[in-house]
Amino acid sequence: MVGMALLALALTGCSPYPFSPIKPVGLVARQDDNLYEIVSIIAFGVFAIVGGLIIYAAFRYRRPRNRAYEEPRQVFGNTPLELTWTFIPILIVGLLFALAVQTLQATSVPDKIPQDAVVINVIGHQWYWEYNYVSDRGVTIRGVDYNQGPRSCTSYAGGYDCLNDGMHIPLNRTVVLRITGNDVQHGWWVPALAGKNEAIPGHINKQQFVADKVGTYYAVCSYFCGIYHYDMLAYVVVQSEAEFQRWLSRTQAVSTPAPANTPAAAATAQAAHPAPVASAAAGAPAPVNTSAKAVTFSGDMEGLFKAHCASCHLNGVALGGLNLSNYQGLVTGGNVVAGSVFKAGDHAKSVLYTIVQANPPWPGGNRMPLGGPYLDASQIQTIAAWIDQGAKNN
Amino acid sequence: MASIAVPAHAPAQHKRYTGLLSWITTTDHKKVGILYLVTTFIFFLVGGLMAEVIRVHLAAPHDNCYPANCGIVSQDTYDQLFTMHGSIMIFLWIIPVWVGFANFMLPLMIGARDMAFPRLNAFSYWLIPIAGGLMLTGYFQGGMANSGWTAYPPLSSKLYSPGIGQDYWILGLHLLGISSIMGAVNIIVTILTLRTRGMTIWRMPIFVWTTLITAFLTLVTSPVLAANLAMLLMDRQYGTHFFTKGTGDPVLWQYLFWFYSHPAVYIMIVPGFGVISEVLPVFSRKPIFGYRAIVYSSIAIASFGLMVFGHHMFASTIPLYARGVFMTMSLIIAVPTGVKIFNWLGTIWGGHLWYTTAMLFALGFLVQFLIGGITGVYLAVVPVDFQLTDTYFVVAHIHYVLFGGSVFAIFAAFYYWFPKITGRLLNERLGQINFWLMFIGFNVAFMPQHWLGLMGMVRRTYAYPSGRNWGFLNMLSTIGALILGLGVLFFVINFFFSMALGRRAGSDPWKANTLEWATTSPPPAYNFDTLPEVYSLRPVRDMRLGRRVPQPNEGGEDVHNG
Repeated sequence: MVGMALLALALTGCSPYPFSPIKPVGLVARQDDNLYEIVSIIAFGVFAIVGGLIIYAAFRYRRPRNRAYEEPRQVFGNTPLELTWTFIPILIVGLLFALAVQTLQATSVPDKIPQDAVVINVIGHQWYWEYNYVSDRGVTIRGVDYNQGPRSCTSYAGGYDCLNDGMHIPLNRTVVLRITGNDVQHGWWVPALAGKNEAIPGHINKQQFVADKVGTYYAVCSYFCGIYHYDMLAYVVVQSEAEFQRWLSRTQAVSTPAPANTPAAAATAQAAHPAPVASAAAGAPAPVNTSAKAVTFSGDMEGLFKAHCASCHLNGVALGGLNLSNYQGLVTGGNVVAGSVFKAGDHAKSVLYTIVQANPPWPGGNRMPLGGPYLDASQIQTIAAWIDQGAKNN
Repeated sequence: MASIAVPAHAPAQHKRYTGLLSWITTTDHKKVGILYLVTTFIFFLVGGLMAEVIRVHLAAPHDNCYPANCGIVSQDTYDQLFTMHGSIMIFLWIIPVWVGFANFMLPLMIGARDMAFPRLNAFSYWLIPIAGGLMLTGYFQGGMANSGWTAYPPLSSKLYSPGIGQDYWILGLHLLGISSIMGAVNIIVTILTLRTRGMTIWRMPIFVWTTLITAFLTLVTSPVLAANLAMLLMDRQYGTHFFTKGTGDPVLWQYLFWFYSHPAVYIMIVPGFGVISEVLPVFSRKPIFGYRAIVYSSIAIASFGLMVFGHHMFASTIPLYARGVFMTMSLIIAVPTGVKIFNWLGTIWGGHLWYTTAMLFALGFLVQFLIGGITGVYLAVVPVDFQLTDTYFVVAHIHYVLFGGSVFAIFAAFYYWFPKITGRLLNERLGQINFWLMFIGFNVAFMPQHWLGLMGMVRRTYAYPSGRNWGFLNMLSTIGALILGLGVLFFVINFFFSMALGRRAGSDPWKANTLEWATTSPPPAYNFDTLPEVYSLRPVRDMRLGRRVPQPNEGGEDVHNG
């Protein structure tokens, strides 16, 4: 146990926070961490005393040799002693309570958002984070963080979409996060900046903090949210005010203001997301000839699904809500794209077709089958042909 | 015993079965108890194997495994493993194994011939293998439940967990809830009505007390879980919207789930308090220190335990004032817990400590439960909890309470009562190896996880990158888990070895105190030739000393006049 404590010290070096490896850079995280240090001092003290007494007793009072069943003095209790060890813990937890309330007051989020605060809606999706920068003109920047791929921002009618660019926040300015979940429960946690707030569908958790050190800080999804939970990482970039303004002006919309978005509306805006994030980079797909050969659902499509989509969308598994085991499943669609995954007669507007291309647009931005091997050109053409021939259940 | 002449017109239903059929048809509390113990121990091995796979998988970091698989199991399998590991260990091992011990020991300890409702008893047992089998059946039908043992909707809803494994999980848990409730009713009625002459409420062994308290806790909370599960099942199968945002609320699940599942921690640990309070006095050759204080603090823990469930939701969404209330209650509960630890310390203080394996496990419990209790205080303090919750710190904490605490108490109980149950002593040499492997393995496995949590490793994570320097502590944790597994293997070896070759125990190998040692090992079907009369808290010691009058300075009547 002592070894473990030393190990902890070795791991954390000689920081002013000897017990916690978290290096806080904001007021909130620092307050939380200060309290952690105090609790740790008390905890290690209590453990040393009580644990020490147990170990002492265990060695000191070993049974005398050859007197197997002899009884020592029979003691049934000691009222003053018992009252003492009832009241000392009461004092300790009273102290902890007072300190905790003090910290809670210092770090709680006021109802009124400060004038100069940066307000960002943070929306958890399976399995990425979306940030909406909220200003008086509504949401001006949308960012999504897939923890992979290129970093870029592209313009759309109402503002800018940023892909994997991180959440940018200015130094020494109040940041208010309004955190919610779009599909399942997630957890927003940037250890260096503040504690966790879970992202729950239908609820908004507010977090307010000030970052006081420039840097890039990890964010992880803290609540289990499905199979790619572990990869739902993101990062927060703390910049000087000037750099933050440069980033803003580089990315912020100059065109028509978007309609004002309430946080709640923003939280559910995903289905109506207006622009493909990376469509500019994807390039126009090669033209396909889709009328050469008759393609049927039972003859061609089902085999394709069974061969390439089975592990996630068949046999009782329907990740993202999408079930490809029968025609009805395609019509119903998943929970990411509400409704049919195809538009009969128009393969270019069908998700079923676009999602198997390189750099697919919405939803999710992940090419299917996820992680490859991907479909070859003739298989993609089969899908296009089936859609263009009316997407019949034949 | 002498054979009894059976009248020719004896009713046919009194026919006695032998062999396997006798186990299937039995309503004898001792046989039912053995069925409980063996079944739940098998589930312990299954859940433990799952844990070993999880630990081996996490031993080394993996870079860039998204979206493919890496390590030794696939992503989906991993999710199923930790979901079922948690569910099995909690619902199919620790909770029912205590019912098993209660079944075997209660009537013996209070001087009764059987439980109050023998058939209900058998029924509540038979639900357990059925429920466990049901929960595992998903493996053959596309996968077991994979949304965590907490099964928060919307993740556990039909939309995000379409597999039938989740439905099996719900139904299995439902059956276990029914089994728990029936067991609790049976235990309460047995204790309140079937005590032998002189066994007043303040002369009951502490294990009987804690079992009674646990039964009340089960009775109050289990129906809430049942209602919650019913709603989730209806959401999944009949299109209701209890837990859908907008029409319902996913947070409703959390309130109701933790209203059961936090007290469930006490359902798992309070009987352990009882066992420790039996084992420590016997092997210190002293009475329990502060009998009434231990009973009252157990009652206090169980009562406060009903009012702390909100601390699982500090980072979720509950109002600030509610956070304050739940923090207060969670801190207060540390006080009776501390009282217990001090009382146990008082029990061994000045004793003649006899280091049997049971005693070692009890002392291991003391140290580890102390650590689990202290880390619990960290989690009770709201601002600290914001950083610690949902990380490996919590994983370490629950394992210090439930493994270092409950499971070590269970092993103490196995070593202490095995001679009574089977008539043979477990081998002490194998037992010492068993203990030290488990003690070292456990601490090496779970102590580093506190720091992993603080370094940012969140629980239920499938993989972690090499750049975070988490590899060393994870490897250490895995090595510990393997040593721990080896320790459990030694118990299994010891079991088979001692069943075949173990020393005969006699009726009272430990020179113990409580009534179960007043009959033969194993006890006859009718338990006692004549029901004994009790004069103090330590009736078997009285019999050894030839005392046949009430002992005013023993037990609860007048605690402090040694």
